Amino acid sequence: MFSGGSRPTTFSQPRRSKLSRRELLGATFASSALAGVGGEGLVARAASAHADDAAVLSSLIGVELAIVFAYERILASGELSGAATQLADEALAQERAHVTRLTAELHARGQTPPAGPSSVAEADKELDAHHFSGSLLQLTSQGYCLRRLYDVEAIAVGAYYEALPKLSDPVLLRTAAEIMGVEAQHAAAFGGLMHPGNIKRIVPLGFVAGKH
Amino acid sequence: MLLAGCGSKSLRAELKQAPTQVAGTDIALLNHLLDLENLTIAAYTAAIPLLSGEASAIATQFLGQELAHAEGLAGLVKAARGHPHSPALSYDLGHPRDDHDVLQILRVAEDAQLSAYLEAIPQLKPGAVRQAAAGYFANDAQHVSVLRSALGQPLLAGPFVSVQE
Repeated sequence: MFSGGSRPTTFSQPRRSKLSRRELLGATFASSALAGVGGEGLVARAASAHADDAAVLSSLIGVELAIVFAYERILASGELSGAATQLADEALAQERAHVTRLTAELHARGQTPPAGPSSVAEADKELDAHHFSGSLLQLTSQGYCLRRLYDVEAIAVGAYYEALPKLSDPVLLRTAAEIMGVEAQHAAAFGGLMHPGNIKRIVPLGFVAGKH
Repeated sequence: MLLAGCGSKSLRAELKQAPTQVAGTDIALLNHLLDLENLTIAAYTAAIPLLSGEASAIATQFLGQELAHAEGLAGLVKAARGHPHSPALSYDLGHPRDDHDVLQILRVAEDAQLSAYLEAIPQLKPGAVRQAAAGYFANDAQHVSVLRSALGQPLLAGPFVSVQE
């Protein structure tokens, strides 16, 4: 018998939530209503939150575009091969999907997304603002490239980690969390290429917050 | 290697900086996450003696991290002046026949956590509590990815964390 514990007992199927979604949402809306100061106050508060969300989205798109640039630069260098190329290709496709989703959200808020970096210097500058260790200028080996990719993923995780307290739209919050999780997976995947079979180096610690 | 959990701070440092302002309305959400962490801890604890080699090492590493998550969540519940749920006395986790079945059980437990975190994160306040949950969630997402690979599945499933049905 496979059981976690010394006494085998029947464990009911895990419920999706201790509280139903309706109860949880009801509590959220009730507290929001109590916090309002009247109709105009709520409208002003909503408008402010909307503007803040747009600003955060714009910032995240900027980071993602720099990351896409980094991937493209590294893949074009020819330094990667085999499994590293395959992983980078796959991760790049996912980063582009992130840009697409976030851009759609920003457009829905009537804003225009920032332009991505048009040069290595611009990309390095954007990434340096997030504590990038290295440069995209001279990519000298697969190992160097993999360390850069790990680093940009750490930057990505950190960007979403920093964004989460600033966002107000629950749909955006969930999207940000979903993307943050994938960026963490990318980092672990590159860690697996750099340290094959060494789980302590691949998933080193239990709190993943990236570079922030 | 670079970074503790991809970040510049160790887990101990992050836990020391855990938010002290936690809303009472978050207690139920946090306790639900804690229930699932406790289930996953039980699953890893039961799994480790049944696994060997790399799979055993993975389970051992992840068990330590799940224990840290549970400790962190319990701390948040206490900060909200709530009572953290205790683990159940036992969990019926099924009848695995081999390593593959054991890893699949672990994968299911981790998926349940991911689903719960994705539901909870948008609702948690203040932002620091949301960040704390996200830090554990991102680690659990890494666990799922590694377990998926150990099960012979693709390392990366898609651009957005989704839960296997």
